[in-house]
Amino acid sequence: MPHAHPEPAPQSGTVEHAAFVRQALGAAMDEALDGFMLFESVRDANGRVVDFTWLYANPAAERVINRPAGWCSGRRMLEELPGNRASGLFDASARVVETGEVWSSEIIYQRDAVDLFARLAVVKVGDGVSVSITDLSEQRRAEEQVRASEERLRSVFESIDEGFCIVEVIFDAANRPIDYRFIQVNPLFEQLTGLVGAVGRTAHDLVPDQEGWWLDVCGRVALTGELVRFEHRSAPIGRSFDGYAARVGSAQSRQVALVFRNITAPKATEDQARAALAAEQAARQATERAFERTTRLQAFTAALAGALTRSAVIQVITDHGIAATEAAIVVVGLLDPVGERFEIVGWVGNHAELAAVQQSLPLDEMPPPATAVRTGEPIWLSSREAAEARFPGFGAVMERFGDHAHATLPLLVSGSPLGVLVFGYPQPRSFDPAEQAFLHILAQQCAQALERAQLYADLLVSQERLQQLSQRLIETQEQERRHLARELHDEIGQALTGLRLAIELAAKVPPDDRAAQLVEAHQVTQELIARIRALSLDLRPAMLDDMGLLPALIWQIKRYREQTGISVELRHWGLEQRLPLATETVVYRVIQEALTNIARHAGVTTANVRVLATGSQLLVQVRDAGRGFVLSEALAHAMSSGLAGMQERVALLGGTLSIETGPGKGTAITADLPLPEEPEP
Amino acid sequence: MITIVLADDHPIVRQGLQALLAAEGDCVVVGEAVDGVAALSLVEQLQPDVLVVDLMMPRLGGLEVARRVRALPAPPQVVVLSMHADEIYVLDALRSGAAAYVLKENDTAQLITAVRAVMAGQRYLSPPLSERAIDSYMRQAHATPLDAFELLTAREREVLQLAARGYTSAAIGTQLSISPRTAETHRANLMRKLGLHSQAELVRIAVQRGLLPATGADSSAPEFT
Repeated sequence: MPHAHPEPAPQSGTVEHAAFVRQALGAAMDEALDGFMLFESVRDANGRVVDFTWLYANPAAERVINRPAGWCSGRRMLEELPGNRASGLFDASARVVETGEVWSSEIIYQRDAVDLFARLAVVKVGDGVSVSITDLSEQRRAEEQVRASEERLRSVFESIDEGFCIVEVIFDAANRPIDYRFIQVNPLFEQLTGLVGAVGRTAHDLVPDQEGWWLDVCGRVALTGELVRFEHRSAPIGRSFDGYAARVGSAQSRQVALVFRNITAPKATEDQARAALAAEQAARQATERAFERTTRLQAFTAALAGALTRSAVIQVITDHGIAATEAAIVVVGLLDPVGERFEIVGWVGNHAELAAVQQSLPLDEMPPPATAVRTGEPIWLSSREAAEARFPGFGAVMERFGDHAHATLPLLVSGSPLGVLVFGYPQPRSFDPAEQAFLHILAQQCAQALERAQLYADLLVSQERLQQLSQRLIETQEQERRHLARELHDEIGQALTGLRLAIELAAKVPPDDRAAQLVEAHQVTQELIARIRALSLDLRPAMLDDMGLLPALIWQIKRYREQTGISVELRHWGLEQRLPLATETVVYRVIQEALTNIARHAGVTTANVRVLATGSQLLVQVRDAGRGFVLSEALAHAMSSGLAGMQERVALLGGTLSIETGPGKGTAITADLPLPEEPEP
Repeated sequence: MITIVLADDHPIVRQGLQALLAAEGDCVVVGEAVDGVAALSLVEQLQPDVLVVDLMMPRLGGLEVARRVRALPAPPQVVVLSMHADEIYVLDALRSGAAAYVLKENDTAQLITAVRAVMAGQRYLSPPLSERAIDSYMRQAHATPLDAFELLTAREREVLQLAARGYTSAAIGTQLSISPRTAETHRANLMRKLGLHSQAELVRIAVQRGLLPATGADSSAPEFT
């Protein structure tokens, strides 16, 4: 291959050489990374430098001042970039021209559409200066970025919600950790540890009784570089921490960073929060349950409200009992009148054994209900075991019906037991106070409904009795009027007619013959007086009003003996005082009716009447040792109007009348009447 | 002459009686009153020997008039006229100060007998009224000590006996085939009738009445103290 020789440079000092150098510099300048400018001074008349004219600027210089290529040549510095005066660059350059000293500085030029951070070197060249510019903007940007990231890091460091510190572990000659110095801490560090002003101080200095644990951890991490997760309670400052320890930097570094949080307070707060949450949930559940129970109770009560008869009440209990209580079995047992047996009047539940339950069970075969009615307290059996423990043998009964829990509530009306409500549950069940109260109220509602049904039944009976009574009263009144009318017309009227005839006759006969007529008239008049008196006494003896009960009774008994031949022994006490007229009348009529019955039915010649008036009560008894009668039959037949009438009269005054009799047993009629504490005037 | 004031609200009766008395010759009706108040003022004014007064009169009854004239300085003898042949009225009249009780329904001539009797300082009662009948009435009207125990019903006595032995109402109910509530009612009633306030009092009365041996409860009954 032929070897080509480069063309040699022109001889130094020649025109060619100068041109060559200029060309070579120009080429170098065009490609240079640094900027280069050449200025010629502009002087005024006094020879003072007042401006500079650009002779030359390389492309890099024109780039850093943000101007197009070839822009500078021939322009004046202060005209184009007036900021040079304010920044002092013009003055500095002028001084270089005058003194010949080199001026060099880092400048920041941020005006005239220039954003420059650079190092300048200004050198005197002829009557002007050369300026070389090293652009430092990139370097500055990098530095700013570092500063910003450091700033960011610091703010992160300070704002993290964990404590942070960097320590330098100090080792002894044998490479054993003996202490550590705090290099850096964040604000939370102080807050969490309570160690203020830790930076620069050693642990030994800060916490003299420092436990060895921290030193061990930091020493180990510094030596091995392993990451340690810790949870530790620091006894001297009384706090618990968890966090990490890690070596910072290279393997030779003895610096360790610790990130941790205080779990002393958080632990307690967490527990509290958990407890509060649980309590709130429990409360909400309780409220929901209570609301649900109230709703169920309302539905149940509403259904009960419409039940007016006992069977209707029991129907409601069996229809709604399960839905209302979550029980699987509901049984209603009512005490029989003697209180010896439970009548199973209603049950509901899907269990075959239920149908086999007898309708009537002796009390002692049902220990929980028997206990419930005896004590008036509910029986809560939360499981078969609990049942067996309290009522041996009853666990087996529950098993037979598939019950795992059992509630027996007495049905109480004014403290007296009517019977029981029994609930069987398919699962063991702890009857909490709210449920106990709920079932208690439910049972109360049932008992009240049953009581109401009883009252309603009583009301119907009494209404019927009242109707019968008023009918009897009307009949009696009509009978008396009929009797009185017949008496007045047939007897009195006839006698008066006879009297009138006798007087007419007397007027017609000669005066001497009148005597006989008048004697007859007198006789008729006497009869009339007697008859009217008897009539009046039968209706109501004036004596009762005028003289009171005792004289009227004595009179009645005397007259009774005269009419019936039955002698009555009267014993009395406390009748010296007048009693309320209504009471006197009732006692008089009761005795009259009783004596009338004795005369009609008893077949006796003697009877006893006793009347005892004490401060607040009046007791009357009419007794005979005669044939007696079957009370129920008597009440059902004709005699009843008298007996029932007596009872009504006594009941109207708030008293009671008892009739004790039986075939061959005689009869005792006892009236018990209340008396006002102060006798009526 | 016997001076008489006549008090009766029926004119025809006054008229008849006035004629009857006038016919006697030694009797003179000095005043007639139509009610009790008028009678009282006439008696006060005229001071008669005898006041014949009807039991039943408006404004003031005969017996009240009799009671009031008794308080006068020179009270007249009082003859009560009455329709009532009952001892209680007679007794009441005599207690009010009347000296004679004449039944209107009887022969009016009895009034003359009565007037003469009272003027002689005697009592007079129209037949069939008699002192004996009044005594008999008074015996009957006499209160005899009577205690409530005698007026208990047979059922109440049974309940008392069982209760005294310490039976509960339920046990009494079982024993007597009645409901515990009924037994309880009987028990409350008998205690009220007898004025008892405690089981101890109940036991005491049962012992007193021989319903319970005095030595205590029988061995088959529950114990009590």
